[in-house]
Amino acid sequence: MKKYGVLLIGGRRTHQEMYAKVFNQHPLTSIVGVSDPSGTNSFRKKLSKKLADEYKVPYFDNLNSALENQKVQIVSSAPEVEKRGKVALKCIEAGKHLYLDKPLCGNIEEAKNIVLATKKYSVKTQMFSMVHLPWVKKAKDEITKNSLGKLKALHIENIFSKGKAGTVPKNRIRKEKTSFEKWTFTEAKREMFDIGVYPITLANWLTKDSVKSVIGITGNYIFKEHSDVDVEDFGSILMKFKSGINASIIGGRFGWTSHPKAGPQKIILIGEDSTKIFDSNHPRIEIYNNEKPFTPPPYNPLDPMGMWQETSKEFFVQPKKTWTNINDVKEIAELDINAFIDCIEKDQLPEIDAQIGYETLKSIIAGYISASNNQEIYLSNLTDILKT
Amino acid sequence: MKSNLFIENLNTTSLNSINNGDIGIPKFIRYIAITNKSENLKKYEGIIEDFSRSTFSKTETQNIHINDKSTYLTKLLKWDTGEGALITISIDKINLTERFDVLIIGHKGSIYHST
Repeated sequence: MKKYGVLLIGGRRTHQEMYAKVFNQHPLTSIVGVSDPSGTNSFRKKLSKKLADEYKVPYFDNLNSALENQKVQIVSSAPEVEKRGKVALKCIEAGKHLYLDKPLCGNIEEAKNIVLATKKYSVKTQMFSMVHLPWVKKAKDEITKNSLGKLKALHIENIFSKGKAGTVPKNRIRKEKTSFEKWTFTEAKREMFDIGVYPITLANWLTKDSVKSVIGITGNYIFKEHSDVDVEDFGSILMKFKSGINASIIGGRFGWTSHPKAGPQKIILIGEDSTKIFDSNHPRIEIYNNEKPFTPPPYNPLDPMGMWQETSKEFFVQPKKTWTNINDVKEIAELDINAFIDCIEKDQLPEIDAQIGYETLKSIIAGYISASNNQEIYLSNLTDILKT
Repeated sequence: MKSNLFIENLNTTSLNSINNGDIGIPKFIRYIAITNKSENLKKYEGIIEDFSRSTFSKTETQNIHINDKSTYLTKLLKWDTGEGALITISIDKINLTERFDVLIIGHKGSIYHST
């Protein structure tokens, strides 16, 4: 008998695809159903029902009743970003432990409410992140060992090598905006939000510090799809921490053919005595042969950026084989969810809880505002700035 | 002297590739230089800034500077036409070899260098 029943919110074509796989295989968890928040459109509901069918569990049309189900102890939550804040609050108030897709949500006030509710209802929350990856843990260990001297600065980058590069209209100069109502579109996402969340979370986690101010830049450099919906495909943020440590991050998406593997993922730690680079693609072997090189899949109108696992043969993405990591490990979601279940079992605080998710969101939002007005944004003023 | 030559050759080779159109229109530079000599901090700052201006064929409109004088400096350069350059130069007192880690993003491809 497995200990924890898991309710999935969201279905196919979300990160729930990979979370569900792990919860299904974990010895202590079993999936008991799939649901969506009210107001979810029929397309999304169909994708959630598809996931429910795949795991042979019921689809609950009403999230409130699903949360009343006594078989549910954990909720794995990956609804549309715009609904995340209210959904998370509902789950916490129902007393469920909550595994949250990243980013936490798209609204500062809602994020704050999640944090407050987590404390009030004594449930565990964990936001999906990269902190359990071995190459990332090595960077953390280096800081703990103090082998580089006192940490002074760090740079973290994560750029996804997916989508067809070079399609952005010529002479496109995008002006950043300060409205945050809509985050996701079928064909594109705001990438400094969606991918930038990884390095910003890491910067918060590695420094154990609070951000004082940020300076941001965003661009629509690569893709027509981002240009069409007026969102960035690339962003960079300078983060000044209260302790005096500074961090720079870059996050974005730059095309299937712009990198030999999944994209650059690096952490650079600058200590008082030495600087060290941690690279997700090292150590590796490189393979060159007479096989046809990687060819991107044909244009998929439902997923032109290659965000989700494709099941149809027509749009199948062939694996990139040139670089093969020597220390390939478990899937990121497996490591992350295993750690979450451990925290519930041992009554420990997850490494990346709602609080860090909230801190990260503040830096992202401030980064957009800075990119928009070319000014340094102090996080202490963020709430006031958002009101104006 | 030798390391100066290397950074200059690296920049020249990268610029040639950019001018050949290998990565399309250049959009963003992320440049990290790790040196063992404190006098190279300012010197490399100038070299890399000049390289960034040459890459985008114009002078930046914003030049943001953060540093810890004895350890590193980081600069974020912005152009009003949307381009950006993030430059970090650090001093390594333990490892005596210089290292460069560069990523140049163009609208259709990228250039990488990692010493």
